Amino acid sequence: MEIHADSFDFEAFFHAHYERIARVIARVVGDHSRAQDLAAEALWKLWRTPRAHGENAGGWLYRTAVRMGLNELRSGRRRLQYESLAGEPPRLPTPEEAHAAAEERAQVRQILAALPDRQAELLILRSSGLTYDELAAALGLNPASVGTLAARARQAFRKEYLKQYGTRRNGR
Amino acid sequence: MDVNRWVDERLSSLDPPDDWRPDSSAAFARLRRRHAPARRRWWLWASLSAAAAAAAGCAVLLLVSTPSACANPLGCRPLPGGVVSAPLVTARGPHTNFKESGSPAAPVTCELYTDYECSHCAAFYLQTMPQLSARYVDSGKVRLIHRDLPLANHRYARLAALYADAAGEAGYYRDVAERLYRTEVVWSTDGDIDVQVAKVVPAAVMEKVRSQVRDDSSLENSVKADEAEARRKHIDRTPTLLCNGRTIGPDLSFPRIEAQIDLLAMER
Repeated sequence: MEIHADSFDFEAFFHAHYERIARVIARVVGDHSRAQDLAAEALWKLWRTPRAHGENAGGWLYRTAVRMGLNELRSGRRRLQYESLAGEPPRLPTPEEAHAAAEERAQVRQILAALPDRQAELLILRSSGLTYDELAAALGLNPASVGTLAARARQAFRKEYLKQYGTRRNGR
Repeated sequence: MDVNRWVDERLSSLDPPDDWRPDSSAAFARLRRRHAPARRRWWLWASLSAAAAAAAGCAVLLLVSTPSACANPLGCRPLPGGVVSAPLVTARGPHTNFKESGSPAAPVTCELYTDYECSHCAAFYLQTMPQLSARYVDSGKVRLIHRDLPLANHRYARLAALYADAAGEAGYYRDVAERLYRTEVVWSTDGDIDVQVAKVVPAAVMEKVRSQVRDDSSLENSVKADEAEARRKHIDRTPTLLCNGRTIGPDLSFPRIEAQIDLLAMER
């Protein structure tokens, strides 16, 4: 994703990337309508930041989107509303399973919010389908180190998860 | 135990449903609405500034003009030696800045590069320009600069630009530009631009236009200056619309232009 400032068609760019950015943010905040708002704001922020235009505009956008999502998550202001507003998958077998799934999502987000920024960003963007090269570009990392850093981030995630929730359900 | 798999399973629980499709059109519309108040405030300020500048300009003109020389500057033509003649028959007069329109204080400056023999330019000028002018130029939101870019493969485009510019100096730029675009299919085959221009310019003015096209090198220099500007900005096609340094398009429909200009104005 590359932007040339002299021919940047913001509207076309917006339509091309909005959905993917919204889905990345939705992973973090859960609330789909809030994710859509934040995605639009992230794209707007890119438009208003000329230094972000250029070869790594995509990386800048993903990094900004994840950070906005994490900030939102950590603010905790709407955390209790996320799951009720999240627009659950249409076929959840039973209320118990739905509750368990919602609880797990809340726990995963809690752990992400507790991790250092870099590790949380790595995990979120990796789980959003970015390749190691794309991760390196987005987060300003040495491509050769991304694998190692991702492995450390996963270890940190599991450690924090077990610390907070033990092995009672998911720590097998 | 595979830690990677364990973590990925936890993280995959966050995946949004596959059938969730965020609506980018609705989001873009919301974004525009959200930033609209700031835009309105800015344009109100710009309009007031433009009005104040215009009022100040009028005051200066009144102070420096001499009523005994000419009561209506638009209908007078200065003669050599500074003597002012009687008003011309035509209601228009010398116009050195005819390629520019709109307020100099406008938040957005657009440059339009055109070729009179280009059918896309004709379509743009006849269909989109009226909307652009009414919505943005006449209201002081956009300063519009016309630039000539006669393409090498259009045999009569340069001559057409010279006629339009000569007529522009006499106050007939819009009339002639519109006539040339409307009849481009006709004169592009026989090169008889003169007969088309003569239909919208009074005979006395037409004589001067012909004389200028034949002898006045400043017209050619003006076209060359526009071409040099186009080269400097890597513009090689027409029509090209450049607003605050950014190329609009390739879609030059009015809704697209409107969206881009609104965004540029918000940026200020």
